[in-house]
Amino acid sequence: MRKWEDIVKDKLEGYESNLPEDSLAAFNARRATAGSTKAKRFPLVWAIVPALAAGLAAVLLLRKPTVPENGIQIIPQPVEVYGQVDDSLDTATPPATEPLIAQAVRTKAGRPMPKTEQSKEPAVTTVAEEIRIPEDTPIPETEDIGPQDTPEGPATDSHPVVRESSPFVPQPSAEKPAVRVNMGTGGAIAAGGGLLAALATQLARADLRPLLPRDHDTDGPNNTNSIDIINGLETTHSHRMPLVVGLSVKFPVTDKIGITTGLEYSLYSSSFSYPSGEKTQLVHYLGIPVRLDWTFVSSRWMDAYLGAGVKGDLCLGATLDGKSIGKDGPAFRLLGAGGIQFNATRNLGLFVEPEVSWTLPSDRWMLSTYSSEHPWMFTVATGVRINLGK
Amino acid sequence: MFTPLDEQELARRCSQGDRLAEDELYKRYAARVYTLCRRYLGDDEEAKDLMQESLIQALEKIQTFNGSKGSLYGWICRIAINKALNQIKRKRWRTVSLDAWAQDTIPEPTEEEMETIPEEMLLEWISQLPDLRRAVFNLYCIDGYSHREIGKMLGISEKGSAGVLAKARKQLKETIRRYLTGQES
Repeated sequence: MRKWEDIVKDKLEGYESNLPEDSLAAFNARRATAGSTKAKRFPLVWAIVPALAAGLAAVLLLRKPTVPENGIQIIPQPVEVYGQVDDSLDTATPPATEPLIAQAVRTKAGRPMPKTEQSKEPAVTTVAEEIRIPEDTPIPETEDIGPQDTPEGPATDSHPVVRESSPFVPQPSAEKPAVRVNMGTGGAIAAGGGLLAALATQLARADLRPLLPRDHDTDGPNNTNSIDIINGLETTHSHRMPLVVGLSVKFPVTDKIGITTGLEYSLYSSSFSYPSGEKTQLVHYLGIPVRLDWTFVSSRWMDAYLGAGVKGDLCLGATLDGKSIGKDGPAFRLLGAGGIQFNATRNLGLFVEPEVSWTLPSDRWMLSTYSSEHPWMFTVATGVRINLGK
Repeated sequence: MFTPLDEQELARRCSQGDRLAEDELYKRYAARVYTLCRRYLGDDEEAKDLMQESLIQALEKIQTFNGSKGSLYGWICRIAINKALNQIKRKRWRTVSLDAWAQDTIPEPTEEEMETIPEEMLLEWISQLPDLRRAVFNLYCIDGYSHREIGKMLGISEKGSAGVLAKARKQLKETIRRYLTGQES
């Protein structure tokens, strides 16, 4: 004899309740709604990060590059340097009273500065010594200074030393990018477009030059002898690996794909040796990396991932022996990284991340740093990462 | 002549986005899944929502269905049961009866008596059980889960599950008896 519960089971197991006639249509409508709701989640996530990147790109592109009008600081050097120059150059004349540097700053160069002729910032300092400009000498306006004031003798517009070798020569205004990023309506599209435009502009502006010609680099990657083409002095410089610290945030897009971004401060330190002594250059950058990461191993405690993306670096300032020498142009890099993240909590992880980056060539750079000399850089980053929405 | 698709083929076509196959899956299983949802939730509207959600999820994950491990209906039922239990757990067992420890002296309905009861009435009475009792009764008596499995699914002990089942049985038996007595009179 069957139990009453078994009879309940038999009766209900195969029983089909009546559904309304339009239930299939309602189901399909609901399914379509569920699908469209799901699809809407992605553009919102995608819009935030490109908007940040585009904002940075807009700042970098629309910002006045290189040295400000009053940004040149002339650093006095010992007088003996002048004597050396005097020996090497027949055209040496008694100390000029007109500041050559001021002319260089305000001269509108006809074309971008070729990399092969760019010298280190200290070379300009040497010129300053040569013409013996006191620190407190006021710098006259552009119109008041003629090319005939150069110490090498009568100068012409095509003089290579003044026009093309000074790192403080600003870029012609005609070459300033005309990219405007519209952050209003359609922000996501504009943001993504702005980022692409920024990159495209950088690529378009980049000369098809070899990557390492800015320095006359023949002796090695970090310690280089070069000839100061202004006065023929031999200088030695060395660039140290940059120090980078930052905060990283990861936005999940799907279970395996995420966008990693954040803020990074970088310090580039270099030393320049001259007969008169050694000078230390410090350049400070603030950067925003934007990277698409693919997580191929994921567990509660650990994630392993590969990623690729871009990074924009904005120069905050530069000093030579503690004295400001203005700001460098922006730099853009392409990144490739792999990493392991140990998840301390659901939203906080410690990561170790080897990264390879390539700095896009640009004629906006003025200062010689580790990255300008090594466009390809390998770094191992470690730190704390905030995982949003995990 | 149209030949009905077997479950594996139906699942394969659904995973390829075949709209006709998806409609076929709905027509084949929607009513049974709806009945299951009514049993667990006790509310027709909630049951309809849950049925639709379960089938939508089934279609989204259909590529993970493995025909060698069980039937397609069984797989969809597990999705629906899990969703139903989550919904019930969110209610935090809001209904608790005070006659839990009363002795069960009600005579059991006979097989003949049970056969006279329509399925809709049985569904109605099950849906009137408090949440936890309804869940345990459905899981144990109809869907064949053990007390250990029920304990894990609901976050209670095995003994707790057995105790809840005893109360559910008693309450349901009382209702059935009342119905049968009313029929006789």
